[in-house]
Amino acid sequence: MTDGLLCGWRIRSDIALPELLDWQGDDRIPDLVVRLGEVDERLPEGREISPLLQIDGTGAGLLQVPMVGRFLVRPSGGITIAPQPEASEAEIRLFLLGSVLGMVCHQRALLPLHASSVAIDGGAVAFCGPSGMGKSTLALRFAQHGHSVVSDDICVIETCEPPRVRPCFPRLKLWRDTMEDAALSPEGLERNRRGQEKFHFRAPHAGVREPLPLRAIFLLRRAGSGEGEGIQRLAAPLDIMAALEAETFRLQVGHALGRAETLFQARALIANDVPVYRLTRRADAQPDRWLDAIAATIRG
Amino acid sequence: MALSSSSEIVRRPHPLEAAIGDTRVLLDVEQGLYFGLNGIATSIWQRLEQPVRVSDLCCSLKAEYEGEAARIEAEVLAFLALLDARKLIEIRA
Amino acid sequence: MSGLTLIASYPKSGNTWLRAFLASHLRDGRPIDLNADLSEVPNLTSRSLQDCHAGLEHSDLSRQEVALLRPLTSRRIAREQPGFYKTHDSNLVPPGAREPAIPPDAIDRVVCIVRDPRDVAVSAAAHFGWSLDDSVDRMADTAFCIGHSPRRLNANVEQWISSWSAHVESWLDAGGVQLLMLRYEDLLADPLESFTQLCRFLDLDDTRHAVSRSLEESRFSALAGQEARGGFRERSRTSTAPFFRAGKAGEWRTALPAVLAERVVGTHSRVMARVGYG
Repeated sequence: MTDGLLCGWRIRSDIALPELLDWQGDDRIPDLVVRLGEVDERLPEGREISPLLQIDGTGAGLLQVPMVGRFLVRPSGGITIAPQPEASEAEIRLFLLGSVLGMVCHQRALLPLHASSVAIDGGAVAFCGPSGMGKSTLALRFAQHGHSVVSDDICVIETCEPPRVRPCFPRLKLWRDTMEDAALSPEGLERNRRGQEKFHFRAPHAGVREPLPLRAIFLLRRAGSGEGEGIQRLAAPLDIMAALEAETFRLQVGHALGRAETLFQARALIANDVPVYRLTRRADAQPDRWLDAIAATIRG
Repeated sequence: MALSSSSEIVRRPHPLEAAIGDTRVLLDVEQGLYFGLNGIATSIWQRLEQPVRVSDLCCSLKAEYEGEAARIEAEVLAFLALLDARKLIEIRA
Repeated sequence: MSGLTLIASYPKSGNTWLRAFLASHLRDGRPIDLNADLSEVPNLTSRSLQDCHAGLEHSDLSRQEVALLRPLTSRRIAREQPGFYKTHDSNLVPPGAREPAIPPDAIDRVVCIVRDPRDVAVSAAAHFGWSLDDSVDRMADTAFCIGHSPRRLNANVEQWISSWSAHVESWLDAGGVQLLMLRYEDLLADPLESFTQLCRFLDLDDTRHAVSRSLEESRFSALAGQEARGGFRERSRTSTAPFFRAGKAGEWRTALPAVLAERVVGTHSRVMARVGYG
């Protein structure tokens, strides 16, 4: 099996990762190595960070998903998975390329935002917001208009100047209703979880290989009663900092790994360099209605 | 500890700090609270890096900013009281 | 107060009224904004709250995993964000789980609201957009759960409700927790007395003046008026009527066909008698 490309890393894996682009870089030793093997139920001297996750003093993490398996994630990049016998490969990849990827980002002092992102005019535009607010839906609609999907759940930000997004993979997790609204059929697609009407859709355009400058962040929110729709730039530094903190993927994991300061500085760098907008929509807003306005906002 | 012109002021250890535009942003990780400082507040905050007596702080501010000594002292004390309430400084003696 | 203080009920039994009252009462009797201030008594099963404390997205979990995870998350919320919460969870152990979603050690105290199941059937039909027939059937269904919508994301995580009888008894017989049972009908018949009892149980201001003021701010006509003007975000998307619809007791006598009323009694007579519905 050929190695894959994930956020700039060379990844070698015992299980197939069809979402990823092939590694075409140098012949370095793989940055991440995924193996199937035994994983103990407890991490010796591990501290419980959340109900299903422990982290120990060396920065290793153990994620346990009852019907999927155990994932041991070492800071060296070694990842061991002990799957439950009934787990499907899609289910294993869901957590490997989700929670585990988030942990790897924190181990490596990157800033993972809970965001979908797409490429617009050679830069990445990120959409953040609570579940159900339409992050993946917006990314899908941009993809249908010819834009590459840079990331789905996790937008991995490298804090250089200007901040850059390391592309994940062009796969979107979409509910049946969202797909049908976009005139797509979920027929033949892998399910997010067995029996769930949520599917793994691979965007049609070639994924992105190289990091892209982060052009803008949109915080998606729902209009309250009597409130109008619109795009508004956040101006107050404290508002931007608090919003970026709230949108950090697995913030508690980052803190447990001693990244509070790095994450804070990363937020400050973004606050200085990247415009952050609040995009307020009504619950019944048509997804396509905002594409032009978003593009126009970015182009200023 | 009561705050007066003879008090010595020390920053409490380690709020995280960064400049965003003209604003100095502080984060107290333990309390999870952000603070934004602008203009003269930033300048006072910077002078608290080493322990300093309130009267000395006021003198140095007076040398840099035009202003009446009594007014500067009143404003400095008010600002320090704010920092103290948010547990960003410690007041000694 | 430590741990979770629950306003627990089967759906459509008066929970939102109590929340509205508390929203005003906890803020010294101030007027409430229906779409903002009910957050004084947030929904424990809100997806964002659960995701935040579980450290992952419930939309990536199977139903059995959610059932296994919920008690762990409840304990975490009890520790890190104790306070008042609304819930429709039963106090039963869902299939595949080892304990109820909100285990006793996470609970500080419980206010359990019950309402005549015949009125619940009428109200639930309008709320969920069901026929009266379906409504009566679901209330008898010991496998009934909410917060699960297969085709799209639900704003709540899954809650194991069970049948009306099993739900009510699961709270009435909850061991090891302080419990106050209130009947919706009593709240309507003598609000001052019942809400005073509520305040006393919750260690809140129970003076006549304070209780009346908060009652005034949360009266049915005020809530219904706000919904008519600005909508209500917690209204079900399949609903066929306003959320604040009737706010009455005994509506079933005219709204529920006799055969369905008898079916409700047939199924739930023992528990109905236990809580005084003849």
